[in-house]
Amino acid sequence: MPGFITTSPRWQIFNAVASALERAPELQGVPVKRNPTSAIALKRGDYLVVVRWNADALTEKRGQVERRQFRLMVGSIAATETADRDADAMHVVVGEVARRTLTELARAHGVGNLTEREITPDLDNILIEGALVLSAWDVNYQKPTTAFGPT
Amino acid sequence: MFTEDLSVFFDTAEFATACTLQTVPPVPFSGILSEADEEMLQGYVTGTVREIRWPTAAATLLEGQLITAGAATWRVLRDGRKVNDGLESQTYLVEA
Repeated sequence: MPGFITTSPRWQIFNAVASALERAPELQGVPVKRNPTSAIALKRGDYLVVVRWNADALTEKRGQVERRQFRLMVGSIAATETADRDADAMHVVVGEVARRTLTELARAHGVGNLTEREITPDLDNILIEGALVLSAWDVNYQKPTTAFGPT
Repeated sequence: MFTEDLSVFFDTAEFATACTLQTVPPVPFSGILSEADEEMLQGYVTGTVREIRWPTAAATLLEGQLITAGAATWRVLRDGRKVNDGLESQTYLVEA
């Protein structure tokens, strides 16, 4: 079996944000699900954070350097009687942790500018008591071009 | 027009459960309770959806009201909706 070690910036960004959310004292007791591949069973009273990576797009290429934009989705879920309010309140904390982490990454590793895109609330309290508040984050970074030229 | 006797369908000796709408005075009625897990919130989670169906003429269930069924108490999640020619109604419940 071949083994691979990823050093891709997108993995490092994703891992840094997910790890920061898992460690954040403000979110103690709240499970953080990384790239969930199936729906998670939600029970009454549950809080949950999901982190999912999204497109990593090439935006510009100059010489041996390429600029890319990586989109990260971060969601806060609450299953409470006031699910919309509670999911939103937790998402404020989640946003702070994500923003802090991405700012640190920018400072330490030269990850470029960071843009918080739309925040989309999703209510499902017609059928159950539950709500999701989801944010998209665009992280711009640059890396050396990977060359697949003839040897 | 649906004219069958609904008590056959909402027989507590069969699939229905004796329920009481907690109003003043309380309103007894029989309803069919069911639950199913459904995917929701953009596919991130599954939640247990609890539903009740009952003869429309027997009770009017409004959002926030409480009903008891056996030892359980449920809160009505939204106003009842008529189904099947209006003779039956349906709504969703959550644990009170």
